[in-house]
Amino acid sequence: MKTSFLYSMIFSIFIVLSTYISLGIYAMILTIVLLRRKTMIITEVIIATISMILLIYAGKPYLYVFTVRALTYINLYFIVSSMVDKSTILDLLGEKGVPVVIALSYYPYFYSLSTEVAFYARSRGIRFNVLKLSRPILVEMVKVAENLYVAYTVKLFGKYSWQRKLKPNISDSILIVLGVLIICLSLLLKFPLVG
Amino acid sequence: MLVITAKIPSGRIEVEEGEIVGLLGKNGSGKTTILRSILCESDNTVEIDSSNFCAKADYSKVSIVLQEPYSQILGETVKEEIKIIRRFHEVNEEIAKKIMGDYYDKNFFKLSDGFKRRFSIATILASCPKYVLLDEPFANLDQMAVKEVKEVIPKRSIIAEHRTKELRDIVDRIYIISDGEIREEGKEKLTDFDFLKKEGLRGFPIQREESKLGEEIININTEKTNIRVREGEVFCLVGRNGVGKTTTLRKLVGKVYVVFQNPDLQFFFPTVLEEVKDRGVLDLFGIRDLAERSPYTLSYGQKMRVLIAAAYASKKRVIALDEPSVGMDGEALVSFVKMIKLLREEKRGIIIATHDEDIISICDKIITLS
Repeated sequence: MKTSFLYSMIFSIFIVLSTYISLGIYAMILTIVLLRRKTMIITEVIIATISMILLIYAGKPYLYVFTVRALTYINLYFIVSSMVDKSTILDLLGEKGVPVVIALSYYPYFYSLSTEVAFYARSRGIRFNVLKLSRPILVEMVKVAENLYVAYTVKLFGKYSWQRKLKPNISDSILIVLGVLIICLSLLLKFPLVG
Repeated sequence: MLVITAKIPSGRIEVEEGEIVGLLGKNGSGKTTILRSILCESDNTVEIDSSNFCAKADYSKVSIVLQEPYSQILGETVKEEIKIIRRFHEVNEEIAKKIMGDYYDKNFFKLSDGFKRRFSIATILASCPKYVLLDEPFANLDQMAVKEVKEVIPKRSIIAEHRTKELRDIVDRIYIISDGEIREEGKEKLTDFDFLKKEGLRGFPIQREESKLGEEIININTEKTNIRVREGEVFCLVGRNGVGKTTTLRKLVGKVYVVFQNPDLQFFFPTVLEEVKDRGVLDLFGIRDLAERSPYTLSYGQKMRVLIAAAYASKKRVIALDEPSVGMDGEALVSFVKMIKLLREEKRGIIIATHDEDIISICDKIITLS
């Protein structure tokens, strides 16, 4: 299911708003479901549960809203990154959207790069140290940036032509309906934890 | 005709219509610098049909495919990238579709190595450049992937490489960069092993040295195979890209010292000495003069030497190497074989995961993963 950037942004605004209207638990559940990544879903459910238990035990359940917001926003980023048809960013932002498109294409690479580097460090018995771990990642980022500059130059030559295509497709419509549904649920059914 | 006239290394390369030209040279000889002349940032000149290309750099005339596919993608799929490129100029989507086949709309990170390379070639060729420059298009590819890439390399190309086997049946003429100069050589030189050795190129056979094996050091059962290594033994895991060689080595971490593929991702200290932590080992591996250098500034062969020296210094009795010869030219390969000899003499066990036929001859035991 590929969605357009514009409607994904509207969906994101609905989700963010719902975390301010109420506790945002519906938004969090929806984003977890839309993630479709088993490991992340399990990790987030564990984080959400432990966080709630600890905060209730500490007598500060009203802080739980921040856990919900953090998880929801992280999920939103991953959902938008994977669902958006990147070329539709250009429909909205024009040529200025090109760096955004490229940045979104690279997040899976830098995610795997970071996990690889952490694994290599562990395999060499190097304890967690931000300075040491960031060194190879920075070097790799500079290398990628250099090559990207070349790719950008030779692939995107010519004059940019703006094509505005703002009509929603079926996926966009489903996303908007889900966003509206979450807003309505947040307005109608409030949780007692929220301040 | 495309003509590149270079200052350093000095010389001239010509590509006629309808031919593929090989540009050979060991690592650091200046192959990439010459290809990047088309960015018009150096003193080199590029002429197409007798007119100065850099007067109005038009990349519909000449374009470049860089070495690492992952660092030149602008979209997650070829389809997506074509949509972006189309906003800037006309593209022939059919070319890209033909090259990618069923993988036209498949995420780059889920493609095989051969098709990742095809991804980068397809997105360049879709713009229909008259000439194409390819920087080491066969790096880190197994035989099947090399075939997949060869099929889509068009005429009117320059291929910069140090792997000569892959070029023999595809190029019409060759240029070589040697001692700071570019000169044309006869194509028959691609099978002249003395010439290849002298110029630091790949493609010559490696002689196997017999050695006496000692006692068994490890005996580990993995999901894929049983790994039993003796003192001084070179145990090889071979098979296509993606068959599970690296995964098998990852399972061995903790039991043996594993050196993985990309050396740059495995340096965590500012100097070589801090990486290796033992001056005696630096002497043994002949890298004392590099002690204060940043490991990132070294050549690929030197980087592997530092990593293997660090592995040796760890005192682990078995050292595993994941595709160690991937970025090595002929010179680095000879040096690597000497390093293996040294490890054998020191009674260390060695595991090599590789698809590189050039180094299979140094193995004592070969397990083919499928």
